[in-house]
Amino acid sequence: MRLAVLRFVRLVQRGGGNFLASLCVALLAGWVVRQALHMGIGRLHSPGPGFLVFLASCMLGLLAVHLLVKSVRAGGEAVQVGQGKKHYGPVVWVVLSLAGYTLFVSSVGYLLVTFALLFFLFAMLQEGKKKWFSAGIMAAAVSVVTYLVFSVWFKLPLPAGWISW
Amino acid sequence: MWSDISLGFQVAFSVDNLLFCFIGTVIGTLVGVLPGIGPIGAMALLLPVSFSMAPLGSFIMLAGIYYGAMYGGSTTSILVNIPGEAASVVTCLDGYQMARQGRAGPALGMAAFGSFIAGTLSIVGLMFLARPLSSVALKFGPPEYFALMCLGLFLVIYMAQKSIEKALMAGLAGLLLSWVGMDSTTGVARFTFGVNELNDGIGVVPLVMGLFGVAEVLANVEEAVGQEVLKTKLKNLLPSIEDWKKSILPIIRGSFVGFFLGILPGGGTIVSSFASYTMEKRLSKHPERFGTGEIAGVAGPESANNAAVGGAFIPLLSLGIPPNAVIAVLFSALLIHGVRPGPLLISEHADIFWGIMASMYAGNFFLLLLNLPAIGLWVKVLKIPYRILAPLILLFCLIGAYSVNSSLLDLKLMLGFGVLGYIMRKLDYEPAPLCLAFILGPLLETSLQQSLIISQGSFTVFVLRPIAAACFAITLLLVITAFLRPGIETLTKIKAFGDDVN
Repeated sequence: MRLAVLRFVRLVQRGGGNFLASLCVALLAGWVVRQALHMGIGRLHSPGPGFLVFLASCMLGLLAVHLLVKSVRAGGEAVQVGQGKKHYGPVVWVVLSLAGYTLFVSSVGYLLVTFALLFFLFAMLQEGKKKWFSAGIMAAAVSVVTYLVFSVWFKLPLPAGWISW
Repeated sequence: MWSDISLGFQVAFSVDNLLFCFIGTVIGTLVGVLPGIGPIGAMALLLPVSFSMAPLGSFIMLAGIYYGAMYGGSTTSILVNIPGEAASVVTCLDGYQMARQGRAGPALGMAAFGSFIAGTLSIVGLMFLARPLSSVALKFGPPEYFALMCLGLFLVIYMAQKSIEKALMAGLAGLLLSWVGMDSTTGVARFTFGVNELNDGIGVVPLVMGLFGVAEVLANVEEAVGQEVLKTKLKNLLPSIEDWKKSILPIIRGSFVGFFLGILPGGGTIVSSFASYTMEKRLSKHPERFGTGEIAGVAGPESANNAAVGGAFIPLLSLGIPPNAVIAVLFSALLIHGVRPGPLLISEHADIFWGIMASMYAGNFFLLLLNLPAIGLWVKVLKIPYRILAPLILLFCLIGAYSVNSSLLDLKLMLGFGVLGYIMRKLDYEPAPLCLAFILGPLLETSLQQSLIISQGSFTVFVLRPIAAACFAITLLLVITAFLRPGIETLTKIKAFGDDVN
């Protein structure tokens, strides 16, 4: 078992991100094939709900396996050369803040949760010394203006939450 | 036909529709100028807003965003050396060099005039070609539609900038995602996991917002890239006679190249601009000047990408098949309003069909005004730091996704697709094939089911009908050349190496 895990780790190191992605896609495709068979593929003159799902997932699975093998043979992928230094921290914080927004917007309401989100993002994305006051002012202004534009003018149904006009 | 055109102008030039056209072109120019959200994201954001509008007005506004983005993309390319829109990548090569030489004005001016001329010519082409093509399309049955959609999907995959296998996987993933929900033929719930909201399937807005809006922001916040606008005075926006002499033929050639490439599924604005640049460099007496500030290197590609927009409307309006991901969003917009694009559009909704054409003339005039006299405004917009733009883009994505069905599930889906889109970018999987396949998936399935029912389960129906057979033959040829391409490239390199050694 330990040997198998070590071999797997070595494969991941060799294949890199492509290996992991292809493996996940291959496993997912396998699951979808099983679901498609369960739904029923029917007959050619009367295709079932799983017919095209089965075909597409088989093709996806085969391609994923092909890329899996290719990534192991090719070795690790080249480091992406971007125009600047990579900062993964902000990416994680943005995703977490959006997840938090999704959780609370319905109960707390658009205005307050949007203010909180924007305040956090404006402050977090600033480089150097944080200017909390200006972040707060901008967040408040944008929240109110967008509420007026989208909810009052365009009449889009944004959640009122704790504050209902 | 002239009475139809007159009808089109009457409906398009109403005060409401002119206002929607203006709004669309302003927003389009804005998203074109600002690297980030792109026309697809902007159109998806305004889709829920358009629900309360009449079908023609909403389509005019959304179409304005598309061709407006083509105009706006050149501004960032020329002044910042960053393409505002993917189709303006090539404009960076010579446009920025012209700006460095103090000729930003003529570069911007020629980009705007070239776009205007090409846009106008492509609308004329659209008017004359759409109707005959609709007549041909009336002969299409389910096998022909299935074959054409397969060809279109595979062409988009074939034109993938990076890996064809990865583009094919993205396309297949898009198809599988499109089939989530209740199957319309059998009523079986597929991959809904007991969630009632998923019975209607995954919405196009959360998917597009996530893949193109959220993912783009995540990719941009990862890199601390500065965006510096070239400090130069914008003068002489009207090009000189010498500039016109160098540019007029590239503009005309770019218009034709862009228009016909735009018609082809998978062709689109990016391929058109690259094709035009390559052609102009080959035809030029001084190809070595390209890349050093040659005005033809701006005029040709900018004309081509605008002409491609007009061309792309032909398969949408005449056949009911979107040739690329952006047009696919417009296709969704029409369907949401109960208007089915296709060969019957001219007869059933003549006002919409001709109104769209006429509105594009107005749109082109607005864009010329927005991109010449008002250019200073866009330069100021370019100076807004990305740390302020990013949260705004995310907010607009959230509003857009939530507003469709007032559903928290749509927000969660958008976030999920955003993370997926970010991972796809990191691993060189392109989102456009996924988006187009997602939109075509239900139509593809219905066409196949109907074809098999007609033929009583026999696949020979796709071979015996000439149009379907031709489409599949082309698709097969593309599949073969796609998988042989790496081998051909290796052989070419070996031959070149051998020639060098000799």
